[in-house]
Amino acid sequence: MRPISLSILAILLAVASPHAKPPTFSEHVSSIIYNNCTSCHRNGEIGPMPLTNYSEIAAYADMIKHVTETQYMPPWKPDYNYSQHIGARTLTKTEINTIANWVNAGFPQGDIALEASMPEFPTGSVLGTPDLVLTMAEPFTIRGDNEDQYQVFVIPTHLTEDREVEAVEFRPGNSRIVHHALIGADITGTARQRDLETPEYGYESFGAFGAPTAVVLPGYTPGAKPSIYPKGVGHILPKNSDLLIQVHYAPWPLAESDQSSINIFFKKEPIEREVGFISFAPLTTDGKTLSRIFRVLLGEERHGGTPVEKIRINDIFIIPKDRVKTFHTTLFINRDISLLSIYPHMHLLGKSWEIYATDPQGNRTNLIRIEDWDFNWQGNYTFTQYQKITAGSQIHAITTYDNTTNNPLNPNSPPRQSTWGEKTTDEMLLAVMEYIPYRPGDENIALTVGRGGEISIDFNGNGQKDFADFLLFVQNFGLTRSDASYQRHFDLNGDGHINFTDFIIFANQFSAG
Amino acid sequence: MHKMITKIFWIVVALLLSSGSGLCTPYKIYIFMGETCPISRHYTLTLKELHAQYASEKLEFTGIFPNRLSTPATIAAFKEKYALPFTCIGDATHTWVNRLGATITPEVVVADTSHTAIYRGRIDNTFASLGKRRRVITEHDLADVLNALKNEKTPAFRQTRAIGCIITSGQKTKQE
Ligand code: HEC
Repeated sequence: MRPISLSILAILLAVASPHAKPPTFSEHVSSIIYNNCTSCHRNGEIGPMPLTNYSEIAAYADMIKHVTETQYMPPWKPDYNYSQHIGARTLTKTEINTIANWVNAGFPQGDIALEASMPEFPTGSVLGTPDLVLTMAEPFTIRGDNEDQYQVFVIPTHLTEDREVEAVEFRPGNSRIVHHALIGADITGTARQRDLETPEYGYESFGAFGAPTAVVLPGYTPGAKPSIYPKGVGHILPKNSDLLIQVHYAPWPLAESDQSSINIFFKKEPIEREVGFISFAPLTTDGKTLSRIFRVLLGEERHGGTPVEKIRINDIFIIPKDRVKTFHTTLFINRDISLLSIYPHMHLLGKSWEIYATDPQGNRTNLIRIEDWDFNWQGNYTFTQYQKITAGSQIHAITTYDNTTNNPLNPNSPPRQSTWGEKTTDEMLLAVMEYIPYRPGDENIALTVGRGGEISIDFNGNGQKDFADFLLFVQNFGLTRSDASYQRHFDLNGDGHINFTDFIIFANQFSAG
Repeated sequence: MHKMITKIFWIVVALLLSSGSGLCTPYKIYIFMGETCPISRHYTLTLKELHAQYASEKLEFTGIFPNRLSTPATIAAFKEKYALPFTCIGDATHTWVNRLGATITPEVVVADTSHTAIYRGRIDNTFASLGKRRRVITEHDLADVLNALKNEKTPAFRQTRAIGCIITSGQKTKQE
């Protein structure tokens, strides 16, 4: 007990002492930047300024302080305290303060021997050798007119039979301009036809694929590792399907080109539970759009029909001009399911999301909250663990749209009424969730990124999750990827830090026995 | 003979005065930029358009690069890549930054020959804040100033808030 209380005393002294030495780059700041920023901020990646050594980081010192204090960087939209998703990019309060104190003190470099080592950034696949590589048939050149561009590319899979998919890895050809990508598969030939009708490679489509999709696969955002479906769970990529990728190219003043590719990994063992989809969808004026969305997105064929019994919306999906408008949508779930991920989607008038489930007893499960919706940083958020939704539960989505002049992204000035559609000036209300039929024990399975399989908190491998594992966890608490004694298996959500979120995962599994 | 010379002198003066944009006082448009600052990169298109429309002997554009890592080579590479049609100079010591009171890249300062600023701030209101790119630009601040000057009006001093990368002020201590 003594060494622990001594170290606590030392920490208290360090915090309390007004003459504490200012943090230095080498000792305190380098590990924060290298582990949270450099994956995107290095040459050839989407982050505009390289942040790979002391002088590059010092040259932007005041700006780094600003973007971390305002939590603009690292980019992560969901409220981290509301619900947990894997791959979360956030800094702790302490890390933010360390950076600020360092900048205020004139950003001293300190002893270079203490500088953190740079994490490894793989140049090839992070998952190994793919079973199928699909590449854009030709490079695509963006207009370079400072506008966002959304282009759908159609790549035939030439699969002669249905294949079960374990992981999908999008590999940007030009990481400077690829802002995100959505991936799906079409078996109707619609997308192929649309491509033929346009002179350029692919076709432009803002809202989504602009074609019906038989399956939606995990998409890509910069810096995120591809997720791997747990044992017995995966997608089915239909035979003869065309893979669709909708690539969002960032606004850029030059006509650069890109030729991205996709690595697909098939399941080694058969799928027992195919991933299905449920989604919120709004009530539109014609009622027809809604039923189409239901058919396409609610995965009604899988698992003997959709688990969504009915959907209730408080109002027709019209967003009047000069108004801030909130919709409350409810899904009624008729059987036990496990949710894997959630992908909220709205356009430029979109302002915020809150999605949570309530079970028949009134217990609440938070799924996601985004206070400051940003179309540019949309993504598929995988829960750190399966979220069990019991039969009779309701899933609620509260969505707000700002169609006033206060919304700088408003595509119309002066504002104009908006409703459902695929154009930039139209709006959407979708939150696609991946689900599988529930099986007992699901709630104890942690979802993960990269290889490594299911996470176990049985750290010492004695077959029991016990107090010894707790002690091991505590010993490693606070370590970060750059620390010499850091070990991957204590970092339960794989975000590079062994911190409070991991503790929550730990505690959940611990209490589950 | 003497009369003849006087006459020619006045013709030359008149010609000089009527040439160019017709302004009497020259103005300088200083644009503070960062090679790796994304909003600076974004504005290269707008700056080229404004230059094409307004640059003259009396309205002279200069790009100033205050980042501590800027070198003649990085500035030349940026100027070439984005085809900037005006002179670009480095300012690692922040002489220009301090003289003209710039704090952000990109930020423009329009000044007369005595370096008295008549406008300081954003180019237009494309960015409401970092990451919030307006889809419809409604304020064209720099173009308005240039337009007034082109029409020989001197607008009263105005300042707006530029959105972009904070210029890192001098480092106090390099080593502990
Ligand atoms: C997931 C990729 C990613 C990560 C991680 C990331 N950035 Fe960025 N950063 C970007 C992109 C992309 C931009 C350009 C702005 C945009 O597109 O929204 C950017 C912009 C910036 C800017 C310039 C802001 C501007 O718009 O002028 C700074 C400074 C910055 N990042 C610092 C950081 C720091 C410090 C960290 C770590 C704490 C970090 N970034 C982590 C992707 C990333």
